Amino acid sequence: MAVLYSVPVYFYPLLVNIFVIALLCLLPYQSIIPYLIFFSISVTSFLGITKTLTGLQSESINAFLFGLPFYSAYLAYKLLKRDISWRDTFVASNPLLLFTGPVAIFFRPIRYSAIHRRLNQYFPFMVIGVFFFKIIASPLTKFLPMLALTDVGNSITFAFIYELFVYFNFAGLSLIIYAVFGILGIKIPLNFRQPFSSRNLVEYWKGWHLSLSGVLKELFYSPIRKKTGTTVAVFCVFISSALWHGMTLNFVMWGVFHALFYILSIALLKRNYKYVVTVLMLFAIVVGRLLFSDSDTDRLLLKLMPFNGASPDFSLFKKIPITSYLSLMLAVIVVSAEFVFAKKKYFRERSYKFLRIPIIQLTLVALAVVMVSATAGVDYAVYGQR
Amino acid sequence: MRFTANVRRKLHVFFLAVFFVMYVGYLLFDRLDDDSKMGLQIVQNHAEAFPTKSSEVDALILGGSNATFGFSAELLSQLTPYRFYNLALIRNGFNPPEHIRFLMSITSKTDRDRIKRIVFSTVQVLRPLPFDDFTMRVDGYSKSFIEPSRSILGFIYDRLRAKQQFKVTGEYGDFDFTHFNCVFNSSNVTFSPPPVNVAVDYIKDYVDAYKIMFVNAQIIVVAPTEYDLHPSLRNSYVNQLSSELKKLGIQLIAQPAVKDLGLICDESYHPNAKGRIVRTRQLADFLLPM
Repeated sequence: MAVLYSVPVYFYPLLVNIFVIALLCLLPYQSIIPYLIFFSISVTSFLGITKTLTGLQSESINAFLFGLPFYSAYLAYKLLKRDISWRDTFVASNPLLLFTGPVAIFFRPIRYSAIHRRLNQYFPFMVIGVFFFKIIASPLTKFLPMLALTDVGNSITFAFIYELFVYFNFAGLSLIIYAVFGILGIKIPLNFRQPFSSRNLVEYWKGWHLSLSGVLKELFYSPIRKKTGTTVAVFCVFISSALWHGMTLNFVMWGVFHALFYILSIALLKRNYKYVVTVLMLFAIVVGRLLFSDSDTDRLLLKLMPFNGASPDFSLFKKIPITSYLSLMLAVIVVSAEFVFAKKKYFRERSYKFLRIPIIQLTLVALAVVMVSATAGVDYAVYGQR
Repeated sequence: MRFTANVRRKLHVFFLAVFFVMYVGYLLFDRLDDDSKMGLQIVQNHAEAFPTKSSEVDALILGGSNATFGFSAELLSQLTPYRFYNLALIRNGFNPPEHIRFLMSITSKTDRDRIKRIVFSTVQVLRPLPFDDFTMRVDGYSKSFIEPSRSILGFIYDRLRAKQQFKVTGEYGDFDFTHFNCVFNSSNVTFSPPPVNVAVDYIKDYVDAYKIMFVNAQIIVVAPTEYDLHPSLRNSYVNQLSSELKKLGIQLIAQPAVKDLGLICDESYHPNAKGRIVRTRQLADFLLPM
């Protein structure tokens, strides 16, 4: 669909003008404007101007549109809160935030000013961020051609690896930016809070892409819940989130799927089915990512049929370098530690404290030194660069 | 307690400094270590040999390692009226700017005007995206000053394995199989090409650049031979690609897939010495009526 409706670059100014005029016409109905701005990324995705988040490297042709999802979400949030000033325009268009996220739903000075204190506090986040992004996520890009494989085993394996890739790429960049701004004396949201330290899907979403969750809560969840109740509100949140990710059928399927499992998890939690919700969470994460990863509808439907006749193909695995397998192993270790020790001392705050212990920091640095290479994989921002 | 904390803190800083120095040391070593640079030897061989032969050469083989392994310029020169030189590079020089820069540096204006025919063979258009690696230079060095071309772990791993030599002969630029161990490392090939329009754009960019550089040359694009037990998907894709390229006036020669592992070296698109003869003869058969 995106290709069908792709718009030549020289029409962009015209589209921007139409958009601005439409906004001006809607001034009497101010409450609609934040929603229009929020969904502008869905419109550009529908028109083919920006890409969707597919399983392979996806970069928009026009570099000026990098970060449009973060920009539009930020402005929509600020407009809704009626807390917007000229300063926010500069915050929203900060290249670091546009390139990697998070949506800066707050951006305020840190109270204590001594640089050594800020370094002590934020440098460990920088180490974790670089380790996540460069040592774990980038080599995992070598697994991305698995997207083309349709047999059930490889499809599920790819979904699992892609979940890890998106997490370590996006969380890594978010942690780097969090540390950079922290060292400079500015507090921005910590975008990820050990999502795999969760025991159910509700907790998981409290740890994943928190800045967007904050925007979605203000824009959709709170107002809709007041009028119609939780179920409809949850569906609206996930469908809106899906459309923010891209205007393709797979994202709508992903949104509906996660909304259903989220509501089911709430219902089961009320009945105290603790272990069932944990199993549901793991199932929803992997199958959800399977839906999320492939915007080729025909291929996705084939993958969703377990007995589709596709024979398992393992030849790709032989071509993947050993460093990528090492990165995959490290990814599994970190995620397993988050999950298994969730209630332990260094884990329960859900702020990567276990990775900020000095000896662990040294280990991360040592691993980075022996594993970093320009050719290990592709460095790109999975969320910003589309 | 406070004393222990101070010692711990100092140790922490000390080890961070040690790792930093170690990393900088390895970066310097990586810049000086020629052995690890895949394709460096081929680039050096071409840079030394081509200028001495350029006055005789009126046809070039360009492209990636499929052409390095798969074509013999010497045999092609015997079978056709042209004097070929094989200037193909490992991974096509990693990215188009590096590839073009290399060609510009190795050939003079007179050399380029003399070229009548170019065979451009690339397997990239039959592979999933991304095609190019923009982090690398044509000689296999990393462009980045803060990252090595190969990790320390990769370096140790490679040292433990038998060393392969990528080397070409000076006369024709043909690959020297004598120091290369052909062990095939894949049993089954997954054919997952990019969208046809992406492949067409990729080829067109190269052809346009060659047209500017080699103004008198006829450019022929080749979809290389590959080991493939189920070639029907490949064939239909290449046919589609060929018809799209034809609309742009670009000729594509599709070389057939092979099912005989006895013709293949280490990769599905790397023929061995025997396979190279078969592939070169096929190309000559295509070229002669043109």
